Amino acid sequence: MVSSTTDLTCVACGQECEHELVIVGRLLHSTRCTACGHVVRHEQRDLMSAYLRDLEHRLLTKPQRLVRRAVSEPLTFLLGLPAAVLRQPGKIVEELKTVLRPR
Amino acid sequence: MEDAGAGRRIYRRGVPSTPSSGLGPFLRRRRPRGTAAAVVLAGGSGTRVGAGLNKVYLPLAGRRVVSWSFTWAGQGSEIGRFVLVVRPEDAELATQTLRREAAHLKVDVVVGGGTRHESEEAALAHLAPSIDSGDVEVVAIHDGARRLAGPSLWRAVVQTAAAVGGAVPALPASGVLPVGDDGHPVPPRGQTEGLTRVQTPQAFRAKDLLAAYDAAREAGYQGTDTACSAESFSGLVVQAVAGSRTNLKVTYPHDLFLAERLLAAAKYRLA
Ligand SMILES: [Zn+2]
Repeated sequence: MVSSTTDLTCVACGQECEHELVIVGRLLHSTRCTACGHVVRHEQRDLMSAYLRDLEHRLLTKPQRLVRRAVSEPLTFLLGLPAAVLRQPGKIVEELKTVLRPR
Repeated sequence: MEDAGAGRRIYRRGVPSTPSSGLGPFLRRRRPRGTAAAVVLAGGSGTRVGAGLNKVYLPLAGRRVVSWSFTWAGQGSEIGRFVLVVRPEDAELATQTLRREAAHLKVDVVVGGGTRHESEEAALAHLAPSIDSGDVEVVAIHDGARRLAGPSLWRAVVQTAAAVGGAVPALPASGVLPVGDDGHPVPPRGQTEGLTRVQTPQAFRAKDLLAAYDAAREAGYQGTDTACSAESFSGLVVQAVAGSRTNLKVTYPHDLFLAERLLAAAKYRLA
């Protein structure tokens, strides 16, 4: 799960202000207006299926992406590989917890 | 001159500072490249209210918005040069992003100015030697916050600019009404046909564009978009090409969700 902030125009209060973004995998989970607290979420009813489709795509394309990184940055790739492999299960569990969290 | 990370060159007004690293450049797919340059503006409007991420670096479906722009621009054979214009504070993030997500393209990172016009000037100054030598014949300038300009749109503007002088993507401005002082839409008086919404990338013959920006600088003029400056200071004919309804700026939270869905629906490959 990744959090980020950026300036967006809020549909509730109309202000252009900082919004907090929650991203699970490659999927935008929700945005929250820091001025009024208005939250826009990925529709709950298709969030899980969208997440699972995205996870499947990520897993299928992972070997290709690893090769690309190994070619472009061999040293960084080799040094970072053990930690990256160990992080994956925990990362997916965190993402699932966020996706399953009730509104 | 500013070094913002290894593996990518950072330029300030055209001076390279760091060499490339890794095997990427040697294993990069070799194919003939065209004589057009793609310039992506990531300078921001200068009116940001928070300390959050510049919209062009937002993650979108696994890549940052700016990486998608270069992915689409680089898919045709027309474009052979790639330039990203950044704010000084974003230079390192830009470098890391490109190295990770657009390693197959050689993208020059140029530090821009405080306004859109100054950022365009910085890009043109950087490309000037290649324009003068004839290596770059067309320049296409794109607003980095427009995240879904697909390969066919890049191709259309470049080919049209090469043929007639200039090209801008445009859409009929249906459903858009001016708003009065009371905040309510004003019904159109007279003819509304021909009203258009202009998008980017906007492409122009490089030598004429460079000359137009030189003339604009001498006149102390700052245009709001590339077509505006090109038309005011050159004799270029600018032709509209069909824009794309999905090529919208990131303004509202819903724009991000919509972009993600469109990309997923297209299996992450735009036409
Ligand atoms: Zn709000």
